[in-house]
Amino acid sequence: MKIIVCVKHVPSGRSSVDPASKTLDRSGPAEMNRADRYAVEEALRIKESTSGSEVVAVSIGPAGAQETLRTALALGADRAILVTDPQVAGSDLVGTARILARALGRENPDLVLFGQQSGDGVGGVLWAAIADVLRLPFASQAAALTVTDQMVRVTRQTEVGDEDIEVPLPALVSVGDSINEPRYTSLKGVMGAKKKPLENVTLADLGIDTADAGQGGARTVVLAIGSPPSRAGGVRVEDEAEAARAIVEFLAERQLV
Amino acid sequence: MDFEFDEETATFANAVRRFAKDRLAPGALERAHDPSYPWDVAQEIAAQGLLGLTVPVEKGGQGARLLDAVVAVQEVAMSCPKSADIVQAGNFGAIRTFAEFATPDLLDGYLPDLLDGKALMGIGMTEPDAGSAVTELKTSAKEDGGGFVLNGTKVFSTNSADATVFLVYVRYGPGTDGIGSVVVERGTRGLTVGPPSQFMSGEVWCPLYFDGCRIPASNVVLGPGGFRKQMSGFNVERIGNAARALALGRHAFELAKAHAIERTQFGRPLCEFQGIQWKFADMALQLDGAQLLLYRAAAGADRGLPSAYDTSIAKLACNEAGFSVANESLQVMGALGFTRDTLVEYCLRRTRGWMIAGGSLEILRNRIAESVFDRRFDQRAGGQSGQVVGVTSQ
Repeated sequence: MKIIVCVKHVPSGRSSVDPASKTLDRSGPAEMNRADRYAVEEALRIKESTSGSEVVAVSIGPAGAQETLRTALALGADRAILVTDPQVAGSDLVGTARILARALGRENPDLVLFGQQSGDGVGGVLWAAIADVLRLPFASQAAALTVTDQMVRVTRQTEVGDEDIEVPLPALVSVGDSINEPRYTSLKGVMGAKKKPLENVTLADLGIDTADAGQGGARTVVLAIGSPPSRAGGVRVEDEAEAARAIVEFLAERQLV
Repeated sequence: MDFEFDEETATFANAVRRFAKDRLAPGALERAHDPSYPWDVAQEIAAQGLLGLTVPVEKGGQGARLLDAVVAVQEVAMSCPKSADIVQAGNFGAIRTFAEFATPDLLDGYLPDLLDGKALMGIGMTEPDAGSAVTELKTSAKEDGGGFVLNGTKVFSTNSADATVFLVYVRYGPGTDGIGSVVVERGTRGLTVGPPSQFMSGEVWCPLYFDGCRIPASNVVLGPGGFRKQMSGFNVERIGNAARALALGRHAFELAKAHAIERTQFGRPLCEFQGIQWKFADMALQLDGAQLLLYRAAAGADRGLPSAYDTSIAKLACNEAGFSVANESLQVMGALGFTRDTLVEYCLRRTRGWMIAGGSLEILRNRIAESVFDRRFDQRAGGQSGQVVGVTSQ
């Protein structure tokens, strides 16, 4: 079974948006998107329980994203592919989905895993867009998954309870953070990662016209960015023997108690 | 000259940092105040591959560089200072000497459990009359009927309260060439682990009494003349000691920094007072300077040159910086820093101990001076000074 796990290189710590380009400032330190660690872990667990399996980590981004792919290799992925091209910068969701779909399609995977959402863009729909381009089934918010010969059984966490569904392979699945406890990179893994293949591919390699990528190919335009409104001052309750009553009334008015 | 980690080291440091933050930071304060050895944490750290980092792969270790072990100590200490003791015990000092010189049978018998965090090796070196002048140790090992009989007393031994096995420095005969080391399992007849005492740091130690303690000849790690072989081992241990001292100074620094940002007095955060800013600048200067010396020593040792000068000057700088920064951090945090509700006072107590253990600041200065003048200064009364012949003091 060939499992692809998509990982994103995201700024670590506090990130900011460049007001001029209206894009995220990616000049600082970055790391593997937290949600993607669960996808990597799940891919590795399937590999470890299914003989003859291969895990391929795939990312799209600047050359620095190799660092995140090396982390995936150190964790146990067999090889990695980075789609990197100056023309990729500024791609919107649809553009990114189109490029990644092409990279995934080349590999003919049985299963593609994603983290539920990225910590920087916080879109949470890229996997759905890629599934649409590839015309493959997908399941989101997986809290558990089991792979059989031709199917993947997914327990989806929803607001009203768990939902068990079966999806025929090949399929895409995005996993939630309750699905497993990701392992940590070991030194042996780090040293071993050096010997594993990491392929850089360009838009030309994927046969994508540069006009369809980046800001030029985007179908959305960022009109404005801004900080969230600062929080209101709130209500201060001075304790003059009536504080408890005042707090209860405050909560009751809002139907919180 | 490049002052950045290579990609592998940076990735490893990030991984240990993540592990330590997730798994070791919770409970760090309680762990620091509990004198018992945290076996559960030791096994978790072992499962993460952080013990035996520098032990060769064929012996069951990770085959990594000393620098990686330094990184592991630092990253663990930044989240849980007490847990860094486990990384120290599993990478520097007794275990390293044991892994390097013990026979295959001894390695098979003890190393797997040591590297799995299920066993702990203590060291029996210091004696009531042999501290810095370690070559004056008296604990004897007399050959007898195919084995050895030990007699003597060891004091201030690290991990002596919890160790399952000891690496004991013994005297087979007179002079420095008469010194070597043997393995003695806890519970061996003739070895009495005395009543516990506590250091200012909170660590517990027990005297080790050897009274006709018989061990098989196969327990010998280094026979007569072996002491000189392990001189480089002292330098390596000093790097581990230095790494912990500096890391605890940095731990205290980070706590004080957060406090200086959050704490408001006279209507503004502490960090906006010039007097406080100068304290932090001075602390940063001490930490960064000592850090560079530490990395130089570790990198030098990785090139097969555990230089006495590099390691002595690194330990001196790290011990002084660690203590001084922890002390100043406590001052910045005021009464809160003086309580046991934060780890600053713990860092202060621990860093104070390392100014004595593993080579006191004074002995380190003597060693540095010998390198400066390229000659040996014998500290013994009536001793002869002359060419540098090696390290013979602890």
